[in-house]
Amino acid sequence: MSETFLLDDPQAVARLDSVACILEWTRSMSVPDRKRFLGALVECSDDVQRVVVSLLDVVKDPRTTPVERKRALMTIADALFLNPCEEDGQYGQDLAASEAYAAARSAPLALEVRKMDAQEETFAQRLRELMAAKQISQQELADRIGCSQPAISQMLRRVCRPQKRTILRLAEALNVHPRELWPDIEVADMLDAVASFQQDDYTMTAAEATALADAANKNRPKIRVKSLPVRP
Amino acid sequence: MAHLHQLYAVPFTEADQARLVGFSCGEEPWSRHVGEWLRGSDVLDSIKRGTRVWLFETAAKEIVGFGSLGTSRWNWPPPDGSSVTIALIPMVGIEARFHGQPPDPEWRYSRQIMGHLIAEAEKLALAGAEKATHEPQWLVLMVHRDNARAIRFYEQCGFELIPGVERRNNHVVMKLWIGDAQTDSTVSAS
Repeated sequence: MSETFLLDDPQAVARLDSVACILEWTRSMSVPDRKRFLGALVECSDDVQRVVVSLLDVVKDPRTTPVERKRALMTIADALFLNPCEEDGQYGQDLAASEAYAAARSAPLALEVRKMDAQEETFAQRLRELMAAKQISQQELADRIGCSQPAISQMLRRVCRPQKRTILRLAEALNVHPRELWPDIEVADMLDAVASFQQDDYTMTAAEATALADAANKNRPKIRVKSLPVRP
Repeated sequence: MAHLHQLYAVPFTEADQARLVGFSCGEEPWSRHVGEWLRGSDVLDSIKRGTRVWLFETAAKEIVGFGSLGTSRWNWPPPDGSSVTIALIPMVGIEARFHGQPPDPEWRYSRQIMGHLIAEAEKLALAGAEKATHEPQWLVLMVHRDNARAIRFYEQCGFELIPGVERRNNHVVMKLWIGDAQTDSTVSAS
């Protein structure tokens, strides 16, 4: 790990608190379970991470009933791909049930789940098309990315949701850009760019500093500047 | 009586997300994330750090678009290192079917929306002028370098590209001077 790897970013440092909470919470797990949980949480997509964090809010909410808490925890395990995919269909049903539960909890969460559903469908379809076009069997693809053939089958049947790491490996193995498999990898990058644009403590480049310090070039609005009537 | 194409600003809240299913600002590489920003958790994160967000509706309560306005503290490069507050538009978008509407440029939705955001930014500038810092004096926004239509529109509004700057994912930054705002009714003719 290089020195520059650990950036002294105040926004990120402010989030240390919640990271510490998650670490503390997982202390009650067995060592292998804890490693598996934390590993999966780090590796999953930003979307899945957001869903997991919203569900952890449900888990720790004192108003949550024990039954709700259990279902929220099951949903987290599903989202992070921590439950075994042994019997055909069974996992898919559990996933569907827990997603329906998660969706019922909050509107934004429902949107996230719907969004992931649409992405997943596109993913399975594109993966199928690419494998057909390149005449690659499930076994060959599994060998190339170092997973089992049933795992590929499950992704194609949408039984298991792929993690970002898996998408990147698949893209490499199929020699395509990751966004051909998961269009929203690009959307996620764009949203990251927007978030970083808003961050405090950004240090301007020389070009930005020159432009903002240029007293001779104060470009004023050229359109009618007027607040719109507010409607509550 | 209000003009047929008068837009209204509605302060955005989390509850509005339920009304925004299917809201899309277009399918170009630089548009797809705009609707997602508003429908997902990004808008809520932005509000938490002080951003104001409005939905813009017609008299018939159709959602035409949305806009946001916040501030950020940017540091001058070393050795100076002191910081300056700037106003910024994290995200603004118009539903795809309202692009270029209405034909009358006087009431064009895009201009009404940007006119509103600039007016609100000027209010921040006016409030700042009463303090010692006189900040913010600049309003900035970020746009994808290949989004020529948006860049042209922002230029028509008065924004200028900051040359030689490229932010993450091929984004360029544009600036507008808001430091001379005088009163609420200030109108600069085009």
